[in-house]
Amino acid sequence: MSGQQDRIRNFCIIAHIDHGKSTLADRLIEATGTLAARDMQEQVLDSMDLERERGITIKAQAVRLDYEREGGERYELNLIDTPGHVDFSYEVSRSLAACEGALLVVDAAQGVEAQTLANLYLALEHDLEIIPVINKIDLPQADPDRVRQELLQIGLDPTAAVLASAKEGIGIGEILEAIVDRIPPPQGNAQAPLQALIFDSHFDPYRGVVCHVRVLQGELRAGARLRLMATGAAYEVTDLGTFRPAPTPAAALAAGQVGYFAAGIKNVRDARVGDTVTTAERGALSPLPGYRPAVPMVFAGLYPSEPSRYDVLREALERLQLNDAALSFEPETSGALGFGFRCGFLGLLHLEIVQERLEREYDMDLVVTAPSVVYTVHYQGGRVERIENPAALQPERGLEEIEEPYVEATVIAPTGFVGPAMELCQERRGQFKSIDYPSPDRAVLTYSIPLGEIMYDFFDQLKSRTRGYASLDYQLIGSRPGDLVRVDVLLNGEVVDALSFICHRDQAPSQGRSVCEKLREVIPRQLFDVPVQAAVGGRVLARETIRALRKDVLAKCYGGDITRKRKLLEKQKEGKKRMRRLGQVEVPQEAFMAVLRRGD
Amino acid sequence: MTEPFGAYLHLPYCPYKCHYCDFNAYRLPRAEGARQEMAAAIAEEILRSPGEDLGRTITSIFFGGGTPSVFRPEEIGEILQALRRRYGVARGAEVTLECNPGTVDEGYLRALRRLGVTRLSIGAQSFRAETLARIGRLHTPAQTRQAVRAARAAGFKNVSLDVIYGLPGETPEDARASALEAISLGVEHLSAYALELEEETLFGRLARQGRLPLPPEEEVVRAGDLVAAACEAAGLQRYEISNFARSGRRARHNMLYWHQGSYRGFGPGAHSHLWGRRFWNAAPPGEYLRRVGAAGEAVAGEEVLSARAQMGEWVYLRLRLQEGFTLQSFARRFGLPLDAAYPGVRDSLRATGLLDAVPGRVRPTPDGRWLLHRIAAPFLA
Repeated sequence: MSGQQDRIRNFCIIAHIDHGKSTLADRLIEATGTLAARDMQEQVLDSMDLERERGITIKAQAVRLDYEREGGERYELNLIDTPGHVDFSYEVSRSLAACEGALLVVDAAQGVEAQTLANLYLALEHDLEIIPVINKIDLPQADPDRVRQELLQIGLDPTAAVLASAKEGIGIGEILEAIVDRIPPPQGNAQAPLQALIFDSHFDPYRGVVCHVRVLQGELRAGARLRLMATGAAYEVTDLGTFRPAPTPAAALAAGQVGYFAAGIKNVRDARVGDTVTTAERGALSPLPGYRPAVPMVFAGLYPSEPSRYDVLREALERLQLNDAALSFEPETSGALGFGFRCGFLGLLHLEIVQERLEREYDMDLVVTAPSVVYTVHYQGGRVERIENPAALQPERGLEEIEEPYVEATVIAPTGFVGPAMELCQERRGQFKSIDYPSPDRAVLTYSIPLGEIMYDFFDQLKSRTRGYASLDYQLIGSRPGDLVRVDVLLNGEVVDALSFICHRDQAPSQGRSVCEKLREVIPRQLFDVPVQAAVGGRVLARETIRALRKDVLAKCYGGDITRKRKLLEKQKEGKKRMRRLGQVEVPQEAFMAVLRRGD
Repeated sequence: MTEPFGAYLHLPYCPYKCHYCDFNAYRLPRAEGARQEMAAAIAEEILRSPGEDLGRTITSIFFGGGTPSVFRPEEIGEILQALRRRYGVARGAEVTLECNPGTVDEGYLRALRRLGVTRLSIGAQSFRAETLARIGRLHTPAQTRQAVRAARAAGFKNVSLDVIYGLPGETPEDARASALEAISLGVEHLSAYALELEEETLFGRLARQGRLPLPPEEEVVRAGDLVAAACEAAGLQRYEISNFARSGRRARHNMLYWHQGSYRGFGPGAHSHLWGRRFWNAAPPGEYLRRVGAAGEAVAGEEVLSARAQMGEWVYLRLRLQEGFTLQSFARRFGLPLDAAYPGVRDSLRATGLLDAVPGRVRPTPDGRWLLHRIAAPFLA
């Protein structure tokens, strides 16, 4: 039956975080017998440990469901999971491009949220058929009528919504029927030259890069010679098949189908998400639209705690990069931290994930400097530079202008919290663009805000000021000039380059003060008073003092138990190992993150 | 003179447990025979201890705990007898017993004296009734004075008092007042310890919860300095971080520890050190008794120090002493100069003002004494 396009449906599930996307996916897998209930691991699609721990999807996944309708008609339903975080919006767009339809899951108690909207717009851009699913109707607070009202206001037919509870297994059959009935089958030309979209890839130590693809035109056959259109590189398919959910080999993937292939590709960079696969001979003339290389938005310095582990860190980064095309790194040197790497990430979550994987999988002990966005600096005389590290800014060369990246942020909040939400956006130098009311008790705010203002704690602040009710989504809209200055931090009178940050001139005094206070809290006392200062261009804005330690000695020997005493001392030394020595001052790793929390 | 060799006896029972104490000490069991059984087991452990120590005559004995003075004189006597039989005790050996005010009277102390106990270490801790109650000590300042008088009446010429400073609710002046009271009792030796908060104690818990009115570090340091000044003014010279004595009255047994000397420990959790090998007994009394009953010993763990570790430990322990140590003594002991073993360390410590600049001698400055662990750290690398 494979290859009969009218029996194929390709769809994804889009939802705001915690609205029940993963649970619904699990139920669909279970209901179609793709995996017996006893083999179900909670949330099958989130296969990385990190994903399961954090309850989010980082890497997209795909699974083929074989669904038999009453009456015996069999369908091949391909569920393509999408990452659920704004850091990965490009990956989301590629997954959507592989589908014809989407289940839009909305929590029956929470209603439409910022990510619901953002994902819906993305799905509509890709011309997907939308099936609204009002989930969690078993909750006592569920209010499906209100949610229907909200669906109407965002342009969806509320009568088309399926009422469901993935947790309780309610509405699953109806959803499967809706997928078959309402999502159009693929319309690919099986005779045309091959065009397959890579919507994800992962690195397998035995097979090389495994590409997850949707075949749009033509056919992808085992043994065929392929060309990846963005890089132009050619490979021979060694292995292909479908996910059910374990990889299951097949002879070919026909137009309309979703599956995987391996072709001895060494690095995920050579098989980028969004790239088009075609045959080496008589291939497609043009690639599928929408490809763009991954662009890191946030940069941070990663340094080994032990300088001798520099090479280990480089190898670990190289290996992570095999599986993470968005991660970039370049060697850099810091006066304070020695040799390390300036790494580029899609966002803060991506940074955290990389940091955790380095620590867990490669046993690295890291010092991570505060993340920074990319500034475009115009020096006098017309020279323009991209600055990924605040320390690289050279004000002494004469600054014409500094541009910083801006995003368009969408905040959805109950009308009662519009005030606090707007206040926060304003504090973060946001420029108001619009306000809409999709339903009487909900407002959609749009602001342009500097990315640097939004990437740290903006979302946490938003949540706390709206008692958890507001939601946020944003996308990059380009760079704009700003009155920006670099704040330097001096420890014991010496500038610590790794602590420098760039902020708006008006905020420099308060942020400088906040950083000094944070540093005073986290840096343990030394044998002498340590002044901590924040300065702009040599002018001191704030000062704190870490008072000298006066006492560090055990008073007593316990019945000749010298061992215990020595162990105590050795433990103290272990703690020291996790410190970096900057001049005469011992600084713990968390000090470098103090800059992050300067807004508190 | 023979090389000093010590015996430490751990008597793990107390009438009650103090709020700050995390020593291996347990409430005295109600069962009548418990003390006797413990004393008999310790004597048994001594008598069956391996011959490696033979040929050593004991030069100092220390009964610690716990509260050794809850044991009857005949139980103490049984243990001393075992030591004499198995090891021999040198003439003029120092024999110390720790006791708590309220647990001793003149008759009891006379009996100890007859058994050969030469020195008493009395836990005064504070001379403020309010403080004693706050830290969980069930005796009064009057009972402490009474205990010292009883010791004198029983003929003890060598009496030490323990006091603690940095106690919750106490000012540096309170600590000084306690020290002056102790000194006024005419003791030959005084140990003044800064309160240490141990996690697994009532105080540790209260401190974590922020419910203990602890003095700030500055005040603890000032209290320690006031106590030291009071001692020195009264002719009790500091010879170790926490210890003060009249001339010739340093605690020989404790000096053994600071000199990295050899000693054998008996009783639950007791530690031994024999020429670079440190080992220790099982700590819970029940387990100790079982093990001694079954095998005649109760060793639960050991570590053999590398030459390097011995070196670092030697330096650390000597630095606790007022006189520190001479470069010559280090070189003699380890066969290489200190600066060759730890290049640059002494210079950088001197530069930070933690080590004294006396030629040929290594010792902490007054500030350095308070930061001894900072000084010791590079030597333990």
